[in-house]
Order: sequence, then C-alpha cells, then structure tokens
Amino acid sequence: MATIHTLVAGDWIDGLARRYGIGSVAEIWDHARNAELRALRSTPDLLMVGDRIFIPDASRSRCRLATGRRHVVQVSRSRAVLRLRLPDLGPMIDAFGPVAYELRAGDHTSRGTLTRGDEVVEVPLSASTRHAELKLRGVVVQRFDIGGLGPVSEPRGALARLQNLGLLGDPAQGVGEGVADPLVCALQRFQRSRGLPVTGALDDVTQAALVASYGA
Amino acid sequence: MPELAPNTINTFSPVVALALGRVVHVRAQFGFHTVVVPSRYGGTLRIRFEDPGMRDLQVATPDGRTLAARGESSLAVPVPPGDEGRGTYLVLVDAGGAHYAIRADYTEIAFAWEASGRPLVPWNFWYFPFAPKDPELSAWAGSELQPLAKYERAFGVEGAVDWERTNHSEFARQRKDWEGHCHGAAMASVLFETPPEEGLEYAGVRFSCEELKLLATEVCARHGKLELVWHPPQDVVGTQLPSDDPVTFGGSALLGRLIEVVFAGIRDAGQPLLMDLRDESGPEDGDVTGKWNHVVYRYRATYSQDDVGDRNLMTCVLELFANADTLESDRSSSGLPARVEQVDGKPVFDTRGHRQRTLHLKFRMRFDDHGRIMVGASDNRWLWVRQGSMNTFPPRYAFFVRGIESTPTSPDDGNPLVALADVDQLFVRRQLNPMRARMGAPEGAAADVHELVAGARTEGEA
Repeated sequence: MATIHTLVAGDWIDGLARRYGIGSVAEIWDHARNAELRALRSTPDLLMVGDRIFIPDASRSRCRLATGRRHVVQVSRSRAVLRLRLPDLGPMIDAFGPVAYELRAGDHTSRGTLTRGDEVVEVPLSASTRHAELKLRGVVVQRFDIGGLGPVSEPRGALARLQNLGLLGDPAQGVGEGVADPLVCALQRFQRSRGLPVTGALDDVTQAALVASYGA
Repeated sequence: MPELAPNTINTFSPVVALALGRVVHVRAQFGFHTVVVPSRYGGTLRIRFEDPGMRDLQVATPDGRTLAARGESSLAVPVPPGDEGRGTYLVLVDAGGAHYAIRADYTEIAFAWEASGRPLVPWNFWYFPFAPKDPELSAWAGSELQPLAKYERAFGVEGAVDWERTNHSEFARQRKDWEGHCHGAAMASVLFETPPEEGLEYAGVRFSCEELKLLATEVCARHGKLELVWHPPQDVVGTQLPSDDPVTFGGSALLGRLIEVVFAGIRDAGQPLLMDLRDESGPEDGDVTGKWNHVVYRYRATYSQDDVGDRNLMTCVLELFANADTLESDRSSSGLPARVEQVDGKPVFDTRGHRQRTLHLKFRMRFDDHGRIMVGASDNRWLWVRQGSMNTFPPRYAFFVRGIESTPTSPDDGNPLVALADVDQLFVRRQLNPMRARMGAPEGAAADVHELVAGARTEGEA
C-alpha cells in the first residue's frame, strides 16, 4: 500500500525500495508525488533524516512463461556501493608506508592496502545495510551511518561533511574564539583552509567549495 | 555517528590535528596526527604523552626527515630555521593500549652570535656608578673602586674625576646631566670582551674588573654607534602601572613590528638588541621617561595554537633575556656574564649563580604561509607584558649595536676625558656578527644551536 515515509538515521533510498518491495529506486524518486522533494534534493542519494518521501504501491511485472521449458528470469536491480576517499592519508603513506585497510558494510567487506595515489576504498552495499565500519592497520578508526548525509545547502548536511573532513570543532582543540556554534566554527576553518572569505556563513561559494572538497 | 551517502564519493579524514600547547585524548590503539610549526625561525618541536605509558612514536618533518622513538614518553624534533623547517609535521602513534593522551609543544630559542660563531653573551654591569653619595666619587659607594682616579694615574690624564662629579654625580647635586650610565654600559657589554675577572694591571696601576667596565662604559656612551630599529610613539604604547589592559599597548602593527625586529634581529641576523626593559621595583622606576638599557642577547618563544583549524594564528609567550644590572653586596655588579660552558664541544648557557633580567611578553600573532610575521594582521594583539610578577609595558626602543667610531657619535655624552685609544689598551674588542643571515653562520654553528635546543640543555628548560 502506498505510504509516506519519514526518513530516520540509517535510511537510504535503495533500502527503502527493498523494504517496500519496489523494483527500482526510480519508481520512488520519479513519482509525481515526490516532485516537491526532488525540487529540494538534487539526488535520491542525498536525502536527510526527517525528509518525507512518497512510497508508491509495490509494482508487479507479469510475463508469460511456457510450461515444459526452463526459463532464466533476470531482475534489474541497481548495485549500490559505499565509496570512501581518504586523501589525508596520502602524506602519511609517503612518510610511514602503505596502510592496510578494511571497510565493512553489512555482509560485504573490502580489504587491501592503501598506497599513494590510491586512497579510495569502496564496498558493495546491500539494501538492508545501515552501518559501515572502517579499519586501518587492523584497528577500527570509525563507524558510520549509511544515508542521511543530506544536501550541502542544509546546515545538517554541511555539518556532516565538515565532520567527515575533520573540521568540526573539538572543545579540547579550541573552537574559534567567541564562536559558540560548531557549524560556524567549522565553516570558518573550512573557509580559511580554502582561502575563502572567513564569514562562517553557508553561502553559495562555500557550498560549492564544500561539495568539491567532499565529493558530493 | 558520522553519516555517509551511498553511491557517491565521501571524503573522510582519519587524521587528528594536534594544536600546539593542547592535549588531545585519543581512544584508539594508534593514530595519525598533524601538527603545524607556524614560524620560520627554528626551534624544537616536542611531542609527548600526557598519560602514563611508553609508546612508539614516529615523526616525519617537512624537510624529509623521519625520527622515531620506541617505547618512549616523548620525542624532541629539531626544527631548522627557514622555509624547510616550518610547515606540517606528521605523527604516527602506536599506543599499544586502547587510548592515549598526546600534546605537542613548540619552542624557539635564539641567540645572538659573534663573528666567530660563538654565542654572544654581554657582560653585566651596574649602571649608576656615581649615584650613591660618596664624596670621593669612587664608583659603588663604600668600596675601594676608583676607576676614574686610577685612569688619571695610569694614563697621565687630569680632570676625569672632576668632569664626572660636575656632570653626572648625584652627590654633587649640581650635576648637569643624568647620572645613569646604562646606555653606555649596555653598548660596552657587547662591544668589548668581558674584562678578566681578576682585573689587570696597566702602567703600574691595578684595575679591577668592575673599574674596567666603567671605563668602557664612558667611551661607548661617546663613541658607540647604534641603529634604531624600533621606537613607536609614546602615546601609542601607553603608560605603565598598573595595567593589564592590552588596549594600552597600541595597535597590532606596532606589535608585529616589534616581534619581527626581535625574531629577525636575533634569530635570523644573529644580532643582539639594545632595548629598554623596565624595572619591577616600583612606581618610581616605572616612570615612562626612564630607560633601563640592556642588551637582549637571546629569547625563548613558546607557542600555543588557539584553534587547530587556523594554522597560522598563534599565541606566543616571548621571554627576552638581557644582561643583569644588580648591585651585589660585595659592591660589584652582578658578576661576569652568564657563563657559556662547553658540553661535548657545544655551547650551553648556564646562568646559575649569575643574575639576568627577563621580560615576558604574551601576544597573539598571525604568520603567513611562509612563516613570516604578518605585521598588519588585524587579529594580532597584546595579551600582557610582565617582568617578574609585575605588569609593565613593552620596550619602546630597540637598537642594533653597530660598533665603535673613532669620531664621537655622541659628542655631548660620556666622559670626554676618557679616551677611546686608552681604553683600547685595556680591552679586547668583540667581533660582532656582521648582520649575516643565520644560514650563513660559520659552518657547524647552526647545527650546534639545533642540537643544543633539541637537547634542552639551556638553563630555562633544565
């Protein structure tokens, strides 16, 4: 039955399609009743917690199959992937040597050795996967929620990117003098690091630079 | 938990930046860290663990060195001056346990140098030789010291004592000019080698060490050559006591200029700086028009980073070390200079038992991406200036000491009856560093300094 789903942490579009028995992400995303959401979010991969999305009725395809024969039925399903870029490790690899990694997401695990110039790791995503875990040198360095990153234009989305870039204020590390808002502090750090005017505002120029730095 | 988007690029930094002067607690068995050395003046970066336990630590420097400590609690990394020393240092910790606490500290220690490459240490002096009320006009009242009377005898000169009495003796109360001799003594303390502790005999007259210092003081007041490199307007610098108000210390450009003079003058050019450092003894000495001239011959600058995301803005505590000026109970000035000892062939300052004057300046300063001070940065500002426990104001003068001219540079100053040629018979002139760049110092000299600071063998860190 069609419904309105409000996204919570760990929800992402492929998972919703699987959960509600929808054949493809496009059936949800391109539905007319999601036009307003499409206007807000440029891609179904960057939805945010709290977003409301229309889930249509599960679609059913029919095909006629002759009896007495063997048939191969191929279901078209998008292959989701989690892709992680670790550029700050480049200088570390230069200085201290290659770094063993392991990226695990649900039942899938990708492992290998990071070398200079190849600091991207990725792992396939099952639609039911909600969390991922990154190990470096055999040690868990971070756990992640899949989905919910949100668009860069939203404070929460910008903050999540800044956190992943290591720019979120840590009180023990000092936050900008007189700046109580962690987002403003992190934006100032980002703007300063990119040679932008240090305003602490999430303006268009800053958003574009943040997308370029983060990758999405 | 951090959030990632599927089917697109996500960027993640597993590197935790260390802000200078701050502790970072890490819940992991290992960690990648960065720490930024902001300035180009060279020093020592020290990485250490704040909690118990020994760990493996590796540091990679911007100039391509890798230093390692196995099972240690700290690692000192020498930072060379210049572009190759400043920048981002990479740190790899293998903690073994599940967590660790780590901090990074950066200290610059700079010295003035002689032409030979030796560290320059001025001698100490007492700058009111005629202030005490002594009818005999012997310096340092109550003592046997009679520098000018002995000078008259040794060199066959008449009138030197009378000239001093008339012009500079507080006792006479008819003096024409201020009896303080600090400006001449400060110059003399670097332009002439330290006189022998046991004194010397000339033409049958025995001069003590302190008497010799007075004679050098007289000729340097008259013949010494200075180059003014720092002198802001008095009304911008502000007044002295009591104040903990950075506003009175003037604008950011003035601060930047002063610190630039100190850093570039002492560290880069290896020059001593003649400066006026205020006394902590009270309001009378706090008169803004009063000057207590000293030669600043070294400094120690300790940095902390206010915001790890703003790599070029630093809070700095700068300690200026100058020769001392205390009158000791034995009526000598405060002894010979801070001793320079040789340890394993390297100079080590040891001021134990020898007085010195120290001024502390705390300020916030922005550096550019080449490690140079941004003199005009709007966020440069004073935090405080102290001598001992007393607030004071920053120096209002800084001079390079350029040498001695045979023709008087200040004809109205100094005792004209004490001749430069005569004093040259009693002293050895010091060969000053001719303003050469630090990297042009004599072979081995710079390396000695860096090993010295790396070993933390200075008295301040001992």
